[in-house]
Amino acid sequence: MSVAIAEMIWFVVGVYGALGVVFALAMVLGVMKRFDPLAHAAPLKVKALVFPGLVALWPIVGFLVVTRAWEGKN
Amino acid sequence: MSHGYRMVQWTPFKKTFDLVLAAGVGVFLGAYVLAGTMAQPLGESMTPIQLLIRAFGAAAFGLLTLILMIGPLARLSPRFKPLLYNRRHMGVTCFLLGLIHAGLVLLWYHGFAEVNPLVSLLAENANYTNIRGFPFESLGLLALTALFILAATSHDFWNANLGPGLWKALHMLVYWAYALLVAHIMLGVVQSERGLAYPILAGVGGMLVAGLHLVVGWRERGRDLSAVEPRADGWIEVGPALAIADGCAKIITPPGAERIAVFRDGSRVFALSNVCQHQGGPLGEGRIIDGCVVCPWHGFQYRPEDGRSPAPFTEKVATYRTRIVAGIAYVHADPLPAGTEVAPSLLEANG
Repeated sequence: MSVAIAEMIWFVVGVYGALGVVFALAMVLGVMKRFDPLAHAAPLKVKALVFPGLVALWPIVGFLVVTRAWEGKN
Repeated sequence: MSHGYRMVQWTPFKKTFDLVLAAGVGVFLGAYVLAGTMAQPLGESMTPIQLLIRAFGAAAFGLLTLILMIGPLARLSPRFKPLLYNRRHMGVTCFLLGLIHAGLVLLWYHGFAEVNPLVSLLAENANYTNIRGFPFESLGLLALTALFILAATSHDFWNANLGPGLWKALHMLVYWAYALLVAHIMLGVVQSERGLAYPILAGVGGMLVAGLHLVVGWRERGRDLSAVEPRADGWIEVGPALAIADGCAKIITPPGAERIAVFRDGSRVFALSNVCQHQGGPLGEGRIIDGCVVCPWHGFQYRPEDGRSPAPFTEKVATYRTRIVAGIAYVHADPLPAGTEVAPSLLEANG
């Protein structure tokens, strides 16, 4: 693997992770209230525990957030 | 259970378990470094960091082997079930050991490279087209990524929100992680060394994990093949109600459907889905304690009459109609919606 390809891979990973951090912060700071009220009411250390997973799986959780909001409206 | 999340649901057993786990890892690392130092041939001595890299890597691989053996062992003998309940702390420990291993590798082998150490990790060895000298580090990196996802989604929050099906499917990644680690070891240290210790460690570990899963899979396949055909009216004969041990269940396998756990609690007979809503544990292998069916994996409880967890918990499983005719218990093959109340059949009333 060339240095250029390796740099591109880490760039993609970095962008994915940065978007994940933004998503996870939005979840922990407010969106969680409607997505999972129990998690919203949980202690901060529980939110810290699920934070890395929110960063890693943000497309899946994002999809669940949208579908639940959609189902809630209908 | 989901009336509120806690960081860890501590019990005295869990605390003891974690202490034993931490002590076990510590003793392994110490013994590895000591034995590694003493066994090094003259003139080929490894630095302490190199020894630590191998010690943490071996500890992570050994722990993952143990983790993967626990599932099938618990199905073969109930003595292993307490290990099954506490497996997630072993998984997180395994990830942390792997992370330290990777961190030391980055520091020692790539920390002084001209490019970014992470770039160097992927680009230093470009021999991706040849099995000899293959850049095995990338396999370790993929395995570590999988272990991170498993550790990061081990909290009950994830099971509750992804749902048991998706959560379980995600956690099947552990087998990919294990296969990648076996390849990481075989293409890495085994190719670069003449000693037999590492091939034996990886080979025996892999064979133990695969062998145990095959044995248990064969047993489960036998159960599925012995599925009981329902009669034309949908009822399945379970057998003499009194043959079901008090407080326990007999598991019935309808063809092409989820297994049914038919319980007897004194003179009452009732049936629930065999699949726990938490992590798909086999409810039929649990017992009735304090009037509730208790899952043998993590202690989730369900009321016999409606398959709902007692308040304030919210889990619920499918219920089934039962009846007793001349002492023979029957269960209807069609599940009722999860949480549907069904009156249990009574032995006295039905003879």
